[in-house]
Amino acid sequence: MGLIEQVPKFVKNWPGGGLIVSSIDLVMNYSRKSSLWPMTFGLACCAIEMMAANASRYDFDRLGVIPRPSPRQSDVMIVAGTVCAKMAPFIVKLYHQMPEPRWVIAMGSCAISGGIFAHGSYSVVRGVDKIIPVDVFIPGCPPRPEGLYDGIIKLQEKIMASSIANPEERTVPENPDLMPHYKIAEYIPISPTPSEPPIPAAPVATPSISVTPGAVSPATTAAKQARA
Amino acid sequence: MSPAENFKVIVDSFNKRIGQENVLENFEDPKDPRLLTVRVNPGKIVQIAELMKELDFPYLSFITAVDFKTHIEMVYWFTSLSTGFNVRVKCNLPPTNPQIESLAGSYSTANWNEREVYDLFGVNFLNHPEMTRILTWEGFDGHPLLKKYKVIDDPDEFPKSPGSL
Repeated sequence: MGLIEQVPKFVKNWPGGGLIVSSIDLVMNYSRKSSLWPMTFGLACCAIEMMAANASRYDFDRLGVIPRPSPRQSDVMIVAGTVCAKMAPFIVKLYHQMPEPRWVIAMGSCAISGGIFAHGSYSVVRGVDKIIPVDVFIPGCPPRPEGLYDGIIKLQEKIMASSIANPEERTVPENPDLMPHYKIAEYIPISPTPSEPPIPAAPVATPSISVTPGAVSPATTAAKQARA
Repeated sequence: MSPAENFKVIVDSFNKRIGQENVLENFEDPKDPRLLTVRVNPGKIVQIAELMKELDFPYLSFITAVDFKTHIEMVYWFTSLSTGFNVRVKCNLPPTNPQIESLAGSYSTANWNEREVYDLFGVNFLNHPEMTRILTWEGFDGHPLLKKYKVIDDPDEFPKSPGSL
């Protein structure tokens, strides 16, 4: 836990500290949401729609969305397309190479649940939320650029509702029960220490544009109780 | 007139080079006048590849296989770049432990095509420089495009481990 995560919690308990924290929140969240640089993860036909969204007709530059080729410069990963099991370790590795705070958008049916490959496929991961935490789900096969637009705006709303005083609510908690199936725990730099009890699995997200701004998820509450 | 444009010349060359008993059948496509299909004995596939290069067919378009349960049929598609004519060479392999000589020595493109056929159909190519899987990951169990392959039809079930990075 760094200083940036401890000091706002401390300051918030002062008389009038909430005003300080919320003012800093406003500036930080506004700057974060206004320059969401996506790491484009085009894996299938959804990438075509993502390219169209970035091109001149839909022009994501208006929202401050500038696609980056590197995870080190990115804030949000747009997983656009079918995730194969051979690709899964690379997605996890690139996700952990992104600097925090980081968000993930699952674009299209395949990234949500496996899509048409959900039954009878020998190689497709049934949803990218099985391997990395996902903030916004955009349904469609593929979703139109307007759908991606709406997903970005929903993510911006989520960012504006977050606070530096509770940084663990900024992203959806990872799903530790599902990770060992891919044997990718060795690529995750921060692994849970054995003394801590495992964090319970996150509630299954509905395959629609879902966003929970500021709401305390049961997994986070359980983790807090376990630490206390 | 190039020999690649005359199917009679091609069939005669086949009979002369690999023996008439190894050329099982040949027929032309009624819809495509530029396609000849020859079914041969699988033991002579290397001589056929050398012959196709001499007959002005420098391009091996693709290699694939078909699982008929009773046998596995290999399909080689040779293309003449100067005339646009195609020769489709087929041969039958046994369903258990199928193996055939590799063409990677004469056609470089056969290298990855044969690895793909090995990955998905389990055909073992002899004298191949690197006979490993190309599409699925190391340690994958089975060959997915065979009819006897059982697919896990459970969306909660996961594909097998992708192994090391």
